[in-house]
Amino acid sequence: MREFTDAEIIDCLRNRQSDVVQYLFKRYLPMIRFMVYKAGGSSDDANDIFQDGLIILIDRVDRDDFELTCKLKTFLYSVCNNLWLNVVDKRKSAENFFHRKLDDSTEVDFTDELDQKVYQDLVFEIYETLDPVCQQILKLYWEGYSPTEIAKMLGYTYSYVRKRKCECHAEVIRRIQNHPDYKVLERTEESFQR
Amino acid sequence: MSKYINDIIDYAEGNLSEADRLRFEQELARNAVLKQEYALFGVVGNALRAKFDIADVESDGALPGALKQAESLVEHFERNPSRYSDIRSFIDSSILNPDDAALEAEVAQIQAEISEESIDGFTREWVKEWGEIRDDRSEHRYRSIAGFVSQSMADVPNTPRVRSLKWYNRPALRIVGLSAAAGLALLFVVRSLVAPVSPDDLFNENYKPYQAFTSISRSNDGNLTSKYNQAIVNYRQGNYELAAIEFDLIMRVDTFNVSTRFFAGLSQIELSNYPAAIELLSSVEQHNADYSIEAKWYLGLCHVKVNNLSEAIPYFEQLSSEPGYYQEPSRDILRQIR
Repeated sequence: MREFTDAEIIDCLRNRQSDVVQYLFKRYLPMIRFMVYKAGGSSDDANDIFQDGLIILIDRVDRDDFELTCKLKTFLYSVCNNLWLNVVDKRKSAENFFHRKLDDSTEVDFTDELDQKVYQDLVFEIYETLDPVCQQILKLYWEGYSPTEIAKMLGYTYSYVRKRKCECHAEVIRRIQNHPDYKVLERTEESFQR
Repeated sequence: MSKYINDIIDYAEGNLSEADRLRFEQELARNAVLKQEYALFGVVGNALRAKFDIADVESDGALPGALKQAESLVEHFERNPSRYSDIRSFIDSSILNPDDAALEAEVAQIQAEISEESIDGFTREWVKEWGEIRDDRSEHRYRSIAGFVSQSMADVPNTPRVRSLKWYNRPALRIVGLSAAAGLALLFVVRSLVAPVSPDDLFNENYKPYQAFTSISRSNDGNLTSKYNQAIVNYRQGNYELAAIEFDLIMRVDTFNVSTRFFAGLSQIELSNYPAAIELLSSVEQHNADYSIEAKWYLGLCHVKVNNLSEAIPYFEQLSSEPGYYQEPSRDILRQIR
């Protein structure tokens, strides 16, 4: 996925280029999902919050006097955080969770929310157990740096970074597959499919 | 080490040649192990990306200022949701999935054909004629055709309902193998054949009693607070007649208290006294303070219950245009009553 700089994102949004919206969803929605899941929300909540957050962002960047005084993701996070806090406040005062209508055709599936949270927790747990080199490489990789840049930053050769990148991912995936929580998820999914 | 990981990463990074990409996708479609590992790679990526982004944001010295700025932006956004409809449309169209984009193109082509061939005229007549037949449900022709179509749709797995879903869930509504005019006429007919939800059913599906809480300190008058709490307790215990009487007594002394009126209105709903409920909830809604949003919701439902859909629609329209808990349920109801 091509990485956009903050300045490029602002420019593309002002020019209403759709590919940057798609990029923002792929790039920053996981962060907002993480925030929302942590507070007991669903992936629908995260998607709604993120979409509203984008609307506010675009409204701001359209203004001539707009000046980004922080990282764009910090701005987006702040807006989404506020939006989410308002939702949580309203739900707490309404206390009407049981009003929620489960509709088969909209694919609202609470087991899916729990699965997402389990996967997320698994990945975090496993990441902490990796060796420091793997941790560094994976961190920089998922922050959007190329193997060339990572090699330069860490003082390794390009081929070493490429090799370790694959090994570290394979290791994380292997540990997930062997984790008891993952095996429970697999068995549950298999039983649904029967 | 997994034999697939190199290809998975190259594919995810867009580093494969066209031929290799196609080969990988074919393998992905039939190889369960590869599919699982590819899915897990995505899971790992999303989780780590989120983790590092959050850590980065939380360590950003500008975060406190950004949070403060965001507070007023969000407040303004929630007060004026309709101001942002153009931006919302832009985002929706940017994230339209390929199936929907193809569908939209197909419908645009159909609409162009309708316009060029002046098809609207006679299809309008077909729909009117069908409406007359449908209104007389005892009519044999209606029943036999309705039964055939309903049964056919029930036999098709995952038949999409004719409704608009969220952008990431929207199925493709296929109008395949029919001419443009017949296709749209059939659409109108099918929609009319699916038995409309009755007002009673719609009300019963959506109505749930509101969770009431007693007041810790509602007013300076401890006696009124005590009476209010007693009324709330009765409401919660399902003693709606008693609750209604107690709320009424409170309102004679405390002529306008929003929460008293709100729960008095809800008590009347439970007693099936909808005109009284509507009167009480209307005053709450017009006050535009606490419970005004909930009042709109229950007012909409009351009007549905008494089959006064024209009165119900404006409440659900307001709720559907405002981000909040009732937005989606209101949209759902509007789709069924419009």
